Amino acid sequence: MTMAHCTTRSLIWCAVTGLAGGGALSLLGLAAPWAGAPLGAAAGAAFAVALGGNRSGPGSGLIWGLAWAVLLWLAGPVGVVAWREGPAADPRAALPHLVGFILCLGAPLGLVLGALGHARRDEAGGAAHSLARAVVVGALAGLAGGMCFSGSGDLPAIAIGSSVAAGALHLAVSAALGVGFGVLFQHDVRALGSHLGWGLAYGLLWWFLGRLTLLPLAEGVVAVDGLWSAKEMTAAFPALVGHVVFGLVLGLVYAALDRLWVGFFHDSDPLNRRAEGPGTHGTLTLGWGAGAGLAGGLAFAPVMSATGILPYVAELVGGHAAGTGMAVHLALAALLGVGYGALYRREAPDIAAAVGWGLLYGLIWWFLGTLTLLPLLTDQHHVEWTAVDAAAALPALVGHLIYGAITGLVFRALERRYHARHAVDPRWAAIEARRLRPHGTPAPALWVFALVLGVVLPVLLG
Amino acid sequence: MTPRLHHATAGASAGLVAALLPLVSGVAPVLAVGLGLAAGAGVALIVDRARTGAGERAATGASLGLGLWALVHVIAPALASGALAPWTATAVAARIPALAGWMLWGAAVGLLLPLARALVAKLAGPEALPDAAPACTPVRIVILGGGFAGVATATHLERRFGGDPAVELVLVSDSNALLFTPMLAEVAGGSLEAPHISTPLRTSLRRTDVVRGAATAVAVETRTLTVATGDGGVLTLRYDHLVLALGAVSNFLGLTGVERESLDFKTLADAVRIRDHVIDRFERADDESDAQRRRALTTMVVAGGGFAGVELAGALNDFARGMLAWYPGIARDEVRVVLVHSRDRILPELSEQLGAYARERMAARGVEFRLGVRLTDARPGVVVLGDGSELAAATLVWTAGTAPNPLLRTLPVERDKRGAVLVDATLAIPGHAGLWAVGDCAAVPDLLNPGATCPPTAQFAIREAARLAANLHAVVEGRSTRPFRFKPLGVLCVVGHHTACAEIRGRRFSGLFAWFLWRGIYLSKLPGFERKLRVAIDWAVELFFPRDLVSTTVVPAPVEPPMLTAAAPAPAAPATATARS
Repeated sequence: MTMAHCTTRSLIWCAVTGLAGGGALSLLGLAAPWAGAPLGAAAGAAFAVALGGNRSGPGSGLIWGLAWAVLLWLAGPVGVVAWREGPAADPRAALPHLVGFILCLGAPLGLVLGALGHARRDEAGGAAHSLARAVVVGALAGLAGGMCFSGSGDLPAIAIGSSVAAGALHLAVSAALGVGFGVLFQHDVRALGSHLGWGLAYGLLWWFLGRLTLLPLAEGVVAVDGLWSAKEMTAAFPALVGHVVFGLVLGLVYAALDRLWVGFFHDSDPLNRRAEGPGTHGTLTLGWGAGAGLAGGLAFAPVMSATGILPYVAELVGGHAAGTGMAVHLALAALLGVGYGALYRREAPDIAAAVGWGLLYGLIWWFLGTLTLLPLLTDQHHVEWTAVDAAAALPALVGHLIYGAITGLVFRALERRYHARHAVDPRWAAIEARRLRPHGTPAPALWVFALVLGVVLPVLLG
Repeated sequence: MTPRLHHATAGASAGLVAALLPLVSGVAPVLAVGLGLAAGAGVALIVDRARTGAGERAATGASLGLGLWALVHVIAPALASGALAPWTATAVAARIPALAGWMLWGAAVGLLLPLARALVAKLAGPEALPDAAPACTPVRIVILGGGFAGVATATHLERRFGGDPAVELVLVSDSNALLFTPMLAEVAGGSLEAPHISTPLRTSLRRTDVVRGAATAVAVETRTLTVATGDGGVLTLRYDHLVLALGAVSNFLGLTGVERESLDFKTLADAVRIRDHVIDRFERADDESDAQRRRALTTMVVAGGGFAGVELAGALNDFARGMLAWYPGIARDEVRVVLVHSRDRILPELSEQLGAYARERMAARGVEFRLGVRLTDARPGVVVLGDGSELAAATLVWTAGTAPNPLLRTLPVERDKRGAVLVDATLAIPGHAGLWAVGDCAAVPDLLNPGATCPPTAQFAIREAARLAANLHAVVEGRSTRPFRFKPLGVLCVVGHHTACAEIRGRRFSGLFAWFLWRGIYLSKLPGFERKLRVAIDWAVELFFPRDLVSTTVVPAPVEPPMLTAAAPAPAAPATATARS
């Protein structure tokens, strides 16, 4: 336990924040009037105790807070109700509580605890953190994400005047969200893969905060059963996928531009050059990724076969036979595995992390692939993102999760074997130790938040 | 208790306690308890102990709990029933309470693990630490020579011994990089940048101590060697096993005039010197008004018709003729590249047919041949041939003879007539325990051709090194050694722009296809991805831009204007090995 690291100040602040959040839940009717505030205070204090040593900025705290909210929701409205009502319990009835826990407890607690912490001073590449970089790169990445999201047709209803004005407002908001992403998460993201994960979580958060809360409030909806009802959330499902896609594009573009920035302004300076390995790691990871992806694809193959989706996949190359579909599936699996290698190298310090990142990668490709690209590239030629379609694609979600976990595990095994051989050189071992994602980052919280919501929401809203 | 068992027991204990949570959420008791125990042990084994934060452990455990839920409540029922019925939204939604149970179980296991480990340590004792390695002097393997054989030996030894502290590896080399000699002619011909075909020893060897210097003496009885490290410094190294991988040096066959007037072609500095020398002579020729002197300045003689000589002649021919556009004072027919070879055909390593093809293609591009005649002497600006004729040439490059490193003559070991050290089939020097030899300086019996020795080529050197490393590993581990046996794959030779000859496993190739083969195969063999990329970029740039004319070294001016004299043919010098070290 880390009680020793939890200061009295953070304990008090978190308890107060929890008190306020719990009180808000009571006011919204999501908790009993006598229970909301005290339980909220207790949750806040427990949060401060559990996370005592993991304070490194508002962004890091936010992710921990979101994960805490999800676990509280599982323990409380879902777990307690299931215990009381048994098999008859309907988890959909707990959906408003999910939103309430995230927005009233998790996010505020995380931001407060993170603000009380200290920003991590060094990055993987040694470049100092920079507000200018966060703002400029974040804005550009937000614009890129906003351009992809606008395809969902779910632009802000408060836009006035012409569609040009609506579009401009949408892009302005996207840019602002991108700046927020950069400011909050510059400290925590390392490889491109983690940027994707953080982007996904950020997109989900803004679905809860923006689409489900602020937008209806602006339209005059004030009752919880109008704001956060299962019906309203189902109607907003297309926007959920849109926000996820926005987050993924935001994360990836941010990562690419950020690396360019750091590379140009910092790493290229001869004074900052460090001893490097033989220069083959990047190329080798692509090979490992392909092999790992193939292994994941083979594990996914029975699901593909059983769901009868192979002929549909074959349409990507103009074919119709299941055999063609299987070949395309395995080729795609290897290709996506290459992507995993490029995005997630050095992100898994242990097997648990490999499983976590792998599951997340599988989830990402379910949103991007099954729900977005496959309809776009086959006979449908357009994307709808309805909850019904998502529910019908649940077997694919399971398959993607299997694929991701296997890919992550196999990739880590291959990466570790290479490192073990080269670690006989203490200089190289020190370089790799510096580059590997350290423990103590909010990555586990990201897995909890993104994976639970990514799995639960399509199930409950479908 | 071993560490693994310790962790697993702690995890199982924590998993059992936390099994209450899935029980409460409606999971069957047998499943909750049994899986809680087993999965708890698994979680403890795969979550790094370095995750010290409670929140971090809880979140990691919760994530694994989601995976466990998916496996047990979603995937397993489908596998058991043989259908995907459980994968509808309604069916999965009914399992959400179980998701809550297992995720909270995972979080609880993460929180309880340190407590469980402490409890197990208290009840069953602390985890057993691995036995400390007994203190002893490590076995030291010293490799002399940083060429193909030496570096390959070191690389394979690193792979075999890994991080074993009981073995020390030392490599002594007079250069700090491994030179990829097949591409040396391309450096001399301006196609490639010099550093791009060398790989630094320090970046390619993981845990071998690299000593920059030249071995000057070996005391076999005391197992020590003396290394001159430059600036008068001397180092004495002890060894348990000594690998001689000293390669070969140029053999001028006693021709002191040739040795004095010619340029060598063994090292990177030699290739750069040749290129800069040619550029310098062309610069002078462009301003030279006397036609005879101008012609001499633009005449290049390459002695030796083997692979090195032919490739160099082809490269210099392309380079020299390619830069004429910037030297308007030099006429095209004034440029001469002459290949002198003692036999009646070039490239004796290839078939007669391919050798003839190479000669025909090179002649078509302007290379002249003097076959069946030796180079017997050289004066400033003049090359004397064995038939009495003389060539006025300001550039002479010697590739006509090599001999093993002269250090070998100081060792009390048997050598063949070439001067190479005699070794047995396991690459050990007979009668001298701990002494080994590999590569160009060793006479390795060719078991596939009884009575013959393996040719001194890079292809053989690299494979001999692999076998030697395996045998050294076996000796250190107390196992028996195995003989070296290798069937050559083939040979490749580039003779000019888009033109090469190749014989691979008995099949012959020539022309553009062989040239692609040459570039592709040698690019793949060039050590280091970064080097491959640099060479590929150099070749790509060459497609669009002319070769660089920048001279990076100061070339001494010709001693005297080149003049031909009507001298009598010099007698053939005895073939004694006067090697320039």
